[in-house]
Amino acid sequence: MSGLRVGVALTGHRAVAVLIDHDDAVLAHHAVEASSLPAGDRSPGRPSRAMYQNGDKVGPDVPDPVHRENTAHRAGPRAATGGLIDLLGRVLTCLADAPTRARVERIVVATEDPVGLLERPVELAPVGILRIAAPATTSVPPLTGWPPRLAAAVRGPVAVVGGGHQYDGRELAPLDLAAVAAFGRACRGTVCAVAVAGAGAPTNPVHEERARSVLLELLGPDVPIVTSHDVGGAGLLERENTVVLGAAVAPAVEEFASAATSALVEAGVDADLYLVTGDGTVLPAGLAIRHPLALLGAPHGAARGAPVEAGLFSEVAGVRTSIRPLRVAETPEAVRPPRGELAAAIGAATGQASGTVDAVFFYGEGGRDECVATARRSARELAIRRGADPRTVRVGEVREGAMTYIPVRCVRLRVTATGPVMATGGLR
Amino acid sequence: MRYLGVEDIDDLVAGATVLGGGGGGDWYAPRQMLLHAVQTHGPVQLVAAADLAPDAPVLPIISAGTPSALVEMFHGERESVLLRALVEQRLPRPCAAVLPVQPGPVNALIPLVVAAQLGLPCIDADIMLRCFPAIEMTVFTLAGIPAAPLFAVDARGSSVVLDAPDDSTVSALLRSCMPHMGLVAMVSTYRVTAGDCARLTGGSGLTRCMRIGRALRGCQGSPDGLAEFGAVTLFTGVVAELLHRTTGGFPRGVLTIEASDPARVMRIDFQNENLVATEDGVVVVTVPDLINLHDADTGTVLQTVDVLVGQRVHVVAMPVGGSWHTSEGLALAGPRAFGLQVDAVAAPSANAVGG
Repeated sequence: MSGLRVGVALTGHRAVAVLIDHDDAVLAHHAVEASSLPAGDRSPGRPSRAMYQNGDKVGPDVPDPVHRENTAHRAGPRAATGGLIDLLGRVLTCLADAPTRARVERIVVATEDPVGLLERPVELAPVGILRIAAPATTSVPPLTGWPPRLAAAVRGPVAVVGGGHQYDGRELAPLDLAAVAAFGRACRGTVCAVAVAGAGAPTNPVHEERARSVLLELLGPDVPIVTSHDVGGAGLLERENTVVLGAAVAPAVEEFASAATSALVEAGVDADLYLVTGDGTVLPAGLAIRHPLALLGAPHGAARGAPVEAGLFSEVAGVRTSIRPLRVAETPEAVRPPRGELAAAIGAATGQASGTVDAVFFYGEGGRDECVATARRSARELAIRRGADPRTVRVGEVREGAMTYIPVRCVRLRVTATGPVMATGGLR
Repeated sequence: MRYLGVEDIDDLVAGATVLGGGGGGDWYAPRQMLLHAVQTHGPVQLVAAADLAPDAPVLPIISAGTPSALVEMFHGERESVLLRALVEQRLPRPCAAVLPVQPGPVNALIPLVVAAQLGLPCIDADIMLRCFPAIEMTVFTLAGIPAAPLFAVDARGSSVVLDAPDDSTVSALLRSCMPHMGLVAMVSTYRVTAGDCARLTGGSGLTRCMRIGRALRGCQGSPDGLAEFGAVTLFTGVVAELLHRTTGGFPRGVLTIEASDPARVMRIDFQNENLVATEDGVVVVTVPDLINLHDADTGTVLQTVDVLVGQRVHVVAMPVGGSWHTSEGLALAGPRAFGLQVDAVAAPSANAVGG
């Protein structure tokens, strides 16, 4: 195990990369600017679309001809992705020689460019929107109050079907599988991704997962499915907005992840690819399509170090989401551009994996202690699923949130587990 | 103001957050409900109770949802229809209008949604004058009108009709039903006519709420914007400590705010809403008057659930108005009604605090 890691701060204009060793010492750094040649001339070729199937890397593969109709709606690699990949490939080849590159264990990229598509709604393709919560919530259809241009761009088939879970884990209604299937059929060949949001999903994801199975069967592995229990947060509408925005950029994120992986291979870097999220933690690239909006703020997150959370939600593209905003403290000189990019690259290379649980736990027989134990365990497991080494993952302080007007025994708990990314294994 | 349209919604939300006094639930889902209702059914007509036939029944509406359940499972479209049918079964005539009960961030909006869904006007008044957490803390109770029979429906179509000889039992019965209704129910309570409303409810509850919101938004959340409503800033400082504890089934808490030049400390006792403000051991203001924390940096009026250690806040008191400062009013909604052993202290006037 070499302990060599690479961190890259990447925008459409510049890539800044650092090579660090197992002691986190910076061995090398390099920066490249976008060339004046069209990006298409230097892109590594059309990436395989089946490289990531719902978060699991399955290796190069040819898309199943039966499902080809679902890719009809997507164009080839966007010029924007090609430009990013070009910068990535160049900065890697300049950063270190081939033998060194071959020994790199992990490469972490901080970029929010794929999500930037939200600022250009005309470039977005429609997404399917499935809410599992009827007969509740029908007084607010999906996309209510959205900026009109953005809503028009993302609106594909929309369905609000029976299902979801109540606070105590009981079903609000049985999952209406027939309606899910009808929605899935309406999505065939018409959407680039699907967003699924169910009432009570963070605590009870089973209806979302069953819907995912049905949709995967109908749409094939090339249509990303973004489910709200993967993005977390309290509030059905906020989570729904988050998964709809996430689904709208999921193809761009997936395309970037696939193309970046190809670029690594071409550059002789045989390493796991991780991406930085807005709070500065990292996750395996294949998991980014489960929560595409997590990439928002990645370069700042990487540069900042430990974030301080402020508030309950952020507005993205004029829509309220379940992403928790981070308090931007006074920015010290060291992290302002251009040195900010170096800090971002270093932050990316040294970034840790984390998992956060933020939910209301209703007292069972074990009372509050059991709730706390469950929350701690879930956070730890989530961090490990995102790459944290089980031997060194640390569960942080359990914070209790305020709850009001509630006549049953329960507690709102928030806890984050964090740890260094496991050195070997993972998604290889 | 005769009709409430899309352009009025955010003023209503802002004003209702002030009248929430630190509580009242999360406004986002109700706001989206009202937006969709107005977009679908058109602007909602607001009427004065005195403009309706005096013996016409009205439909009081309050959402009894626990906020953390309401954000997941907010109302569908059939609760209002089911509730109206249940209520009118026991009435000689159909309801002429919807009546708001609690002017808070959730319940200033839900009655308008119901009015839009049912094609009814909404009376421009409410029966609490500010957010209180118990269904019996209303001007109707002060007038001797019982809360029973109380009707509650949930999204799945479950319904209950509750009757009891006293309001606290009605309230307790409702609390015992809520866990089986997913902790979210739409409720109608108090059997009253338009004449009762005209006699007992003071001016323009929803219109006043919107005026408060418009004034606040016009000042980017600065408490100075509320001076015309008698609001006074009592203290500015940084939240130093925030403690929560659950007593007798209700979450309570204490927050401490520190100022540095000169050194002063203010303590706020809360239970959903802010109840008592004490500075250096002296009680400065209590319920029934309004105590709000304004985020000094963002202008947001903070609910107690949103307060964070380290926030810089203004503590702002505002008189509640109406008949809450009578001995009956204080017995029903003063500090001792919340189990706090202090006498009520009215919000100071601007003169008393030096303008």
